[in-house]
Amino acid sequence: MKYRGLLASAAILAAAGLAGVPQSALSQDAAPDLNGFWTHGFSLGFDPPPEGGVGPVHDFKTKAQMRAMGQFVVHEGDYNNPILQPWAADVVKKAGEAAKAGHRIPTRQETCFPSGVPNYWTHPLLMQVVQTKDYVVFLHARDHQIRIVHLNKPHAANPEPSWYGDSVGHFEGDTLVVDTIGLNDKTPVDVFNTPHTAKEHVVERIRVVRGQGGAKNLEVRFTVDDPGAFTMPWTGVETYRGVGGASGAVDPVGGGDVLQEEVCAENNRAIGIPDIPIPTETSIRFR
Amino acid sequence: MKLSAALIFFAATWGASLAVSAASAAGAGSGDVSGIWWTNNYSSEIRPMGGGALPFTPAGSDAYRKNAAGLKDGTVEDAARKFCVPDGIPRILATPYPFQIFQSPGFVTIVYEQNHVFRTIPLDRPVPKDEELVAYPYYSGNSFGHWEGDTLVVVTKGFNEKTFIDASGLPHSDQLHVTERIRTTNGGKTLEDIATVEDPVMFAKPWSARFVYDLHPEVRIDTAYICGEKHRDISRVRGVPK
Repeated sequence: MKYRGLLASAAILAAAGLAGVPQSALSQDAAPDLNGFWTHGFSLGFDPPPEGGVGPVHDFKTKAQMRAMGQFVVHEGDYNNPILQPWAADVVKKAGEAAKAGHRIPTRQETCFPSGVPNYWTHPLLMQVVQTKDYVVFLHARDHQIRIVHLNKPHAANPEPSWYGDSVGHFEGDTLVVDTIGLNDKTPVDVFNTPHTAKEHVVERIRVVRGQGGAKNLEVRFTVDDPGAFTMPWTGVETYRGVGGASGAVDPVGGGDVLQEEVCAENNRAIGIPDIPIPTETSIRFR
Repeated sequence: MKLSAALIFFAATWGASLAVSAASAAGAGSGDVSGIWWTNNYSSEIRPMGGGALPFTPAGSDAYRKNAAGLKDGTVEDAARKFCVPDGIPRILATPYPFQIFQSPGFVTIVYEQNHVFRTIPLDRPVPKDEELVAYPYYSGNSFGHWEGDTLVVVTKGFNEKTFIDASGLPHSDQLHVTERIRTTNGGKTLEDIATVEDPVMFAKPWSARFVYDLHPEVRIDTAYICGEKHRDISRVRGVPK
């Protein structure tokens, strides 16, 4: 009797210990874990799907040639890509010509505006993924850009066009599948100024994969469907490498992994383009 | 007796270790402050809870007088409103826009709709000394958190000097420390954040302000608040100029 009582006490203590943990945090066991810190260098264009098929706009140069140009790389998108409708091809062509003439069109992230989707995946520097039972949040150090994916929820009814649209997601095995609609048409999809319209619909498939030497990578594979700008749906891939933790600290503050604060408005990074206008409030309603 | 004591020890440590491992795995500590929160009241002035005068030092009083006058005549720029740079802590705690708190392994993350600012708060890490943060002078400072019962305690330090403590121009120096005690009340429907401000340059002694928010699960945070564009309707919040 005494022992049964003690064991019951043990169970009560254990239960009491667990009682303080939110259910939202406890019941995500089945989902793959995307939490962590991820990064890649400056985007030179999305990769095509490895299995072949219709891919994103790429540069006339190879990536090796682009890397050799360093920070002075000139982006010249191949406007002959069959995914482009004539007007979209013209936009890409003009952007390449302007860049070559020394009048590069700054990206949205260089002018402190949100990047949109899938352009978000072109951001260099550090990204943190925060995953709970109900959300996956992508936090980017660069200009503190944020995307929130609502898990296992329907899209908002008639979302107004916005920079990051309305993103809902679910897990399929080891993959987070994100469906995004309600995007405005103010962002290019890539670093070649490839345009899209408000009809854009993006499906992203995101998972942790093992790279060279077993390194932990985050693979972001997305399909863009936009009958306003493209002749057909197309797929692109971007790969991040895991940083921090066992791979080495990225910031000495706190002794481990944490995003540094990078405020675009005071230090925008459009190299070679001075005096870029940044978002400015013209009518301040309140302090 | 020995066996009983051993079992009691086992029971206690088993419960505790399960609690620790579950909390550690979830990164959730022992409280739950996650949710979408939105205040009902806005004021441009953050003042001590319970009333009383701000305990300015002479330097603080002088700096406040200059800031307030400059904001009024335009000689001092409010960059947080004009260019959407982060408000800093504690000013953002007075935001009339909603915000969302997420709890994940090892972190509490706060996403503020206003100026699309986020704070990632690592849990249970040693708080660095001030001199270790000299190279990291941030608008939102560097935050470090831990749980005390159901209360999330967040210490923030390592600020730049580009923000005000409130929208009226209350000043701070780079020696500002803010300690927040965040917990839910009213059965989880309300969030309370008591922020204690310490800055020996501007204030002769620490003082605390209290912020209260309601749970708004129906809201979806817009993560693209851009200066110069249309923002969410916040007319429901009392104190926002019409």
